[in-house]
Amino acid sequence: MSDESEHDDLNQALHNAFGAEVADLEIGATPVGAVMKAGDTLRTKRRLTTVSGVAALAVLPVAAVAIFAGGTGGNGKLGPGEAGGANHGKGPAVPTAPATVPRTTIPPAALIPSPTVTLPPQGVGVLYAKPNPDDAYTVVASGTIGGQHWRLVRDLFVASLYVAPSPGPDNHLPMSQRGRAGTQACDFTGLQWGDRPPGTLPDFSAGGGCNPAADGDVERVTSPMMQASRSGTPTKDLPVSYFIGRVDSSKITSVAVIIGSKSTTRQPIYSVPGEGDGYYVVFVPPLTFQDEESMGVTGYDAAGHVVAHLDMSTRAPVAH
Amino acid sequence: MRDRGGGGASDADAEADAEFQAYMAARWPVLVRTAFLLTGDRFLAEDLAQTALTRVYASWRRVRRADDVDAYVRRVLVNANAGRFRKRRVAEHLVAAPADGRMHLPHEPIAERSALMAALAELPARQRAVVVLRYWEDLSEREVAAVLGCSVGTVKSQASKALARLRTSAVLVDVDRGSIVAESGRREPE
Repeated sequence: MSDESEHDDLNQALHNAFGAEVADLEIGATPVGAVMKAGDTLRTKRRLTTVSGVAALAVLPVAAVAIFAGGTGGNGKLGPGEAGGANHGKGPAVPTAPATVPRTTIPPAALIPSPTVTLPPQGVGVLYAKPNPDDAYTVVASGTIGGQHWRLVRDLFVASLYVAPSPGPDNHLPMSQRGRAGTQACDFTGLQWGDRPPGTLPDFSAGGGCNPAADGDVERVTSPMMQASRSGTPTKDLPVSYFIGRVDSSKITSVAVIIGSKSTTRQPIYSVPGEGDGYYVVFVPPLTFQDEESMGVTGYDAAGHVVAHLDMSTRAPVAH
Repeated sequence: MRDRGGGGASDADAEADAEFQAYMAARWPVLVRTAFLLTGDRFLAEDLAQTALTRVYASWRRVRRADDVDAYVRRVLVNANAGRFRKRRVAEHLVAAPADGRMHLPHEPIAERSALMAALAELPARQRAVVVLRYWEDLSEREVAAVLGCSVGTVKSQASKALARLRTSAVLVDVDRGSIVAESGRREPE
């Protein structure tokens, strides 16, 4: 049997098996009325949020720092003491003090009008009170905004295949278990800030993914701009929005967040020694529901040419 | 209901609503079935489909002009499911693996679940989405990549890993016979 016909057979066999699973599924009446009512409410909420967001921006005092000054100078370079690393894990091969000097220096050219960002004094990192001693933490990048410290932190850990992995204190295995059957290696990245100096507490609220033990290591970027995430709806405790992500740093040296027809200044990519991937952080004023319908991250090469764009409203990558 | 404004806008809104109602009536069962394979739970599946369609309806005037409305709706469905995992990850304190080493679905006695669904439940969410989109929805690798917002290479690797795990867990894929034989003894049409 050829590979192709075998593949077709597999497709058909799985399709049939799935079909059998759902064949007897009891499906309730189509809730058209409920969906349209909820959709109307959601649409109204978006409009109201947009209007109130615009009003709030109009009265915001000109504060601290323009969009992600990248630390102290607005050029993406870090000030003394702002770069640092902390490896609290027991495992090998995780850099403890990565150089967080950006690969490029981008002249600031703000395109989003009057962007102001002020970090709250206490970050969301308090969600996880203590670092997990089994994990390997890396401070990928750090800086200050308005006197508050921020850090982009990566948490590498190993967990059983049979638990839903999460950063934090629970259910992690020693790093020495990495690659063993029945385990998965997890790579979570998150942002934290507060008035504590960087490098002292690696706990943070993070998102990420895991690979089965067969991979044995962190998932690598396979497209120029594979991973990106953004903060949720701004709240009283989190009155800013931000985008963080990972790119192929051999192709992309800076990124800009695009919201509607506006753009942030291009921001640098931070590299971790020994790894081919680069990381970025872009702070923006609080996002509105309207913003979420049209926003994305554009990656540029060293010459300033667009390499890739990730549409964050639909999550569809756009090749260039 | 909404204040539809002038007569022209009212006609356009009514037309859009009628289109949505027709679309939802036609696609609701399909979406719930896909959602069931993504979640493994009938009630979660209906909730997920309803959440996705609510978001779609809120943007229907824009969505209806899309070249491929189904692709957009699938994307919303998968993202809504991923959001469910993200929320759960933060909200729950995890416990150690159950004694038999599997994660069980809520609301459903384990004895009533097929081996295929049990094996599917053990896949990471992303691999599960790839398998469902690729082999149930019959999307191409490129289409799956567009839905998930990743590269075609990632889809290939995730599909390969997922199939390997399905093979080595409870499900035996007998491609030569064009059937799937599960450890429960369930056999699908040959």
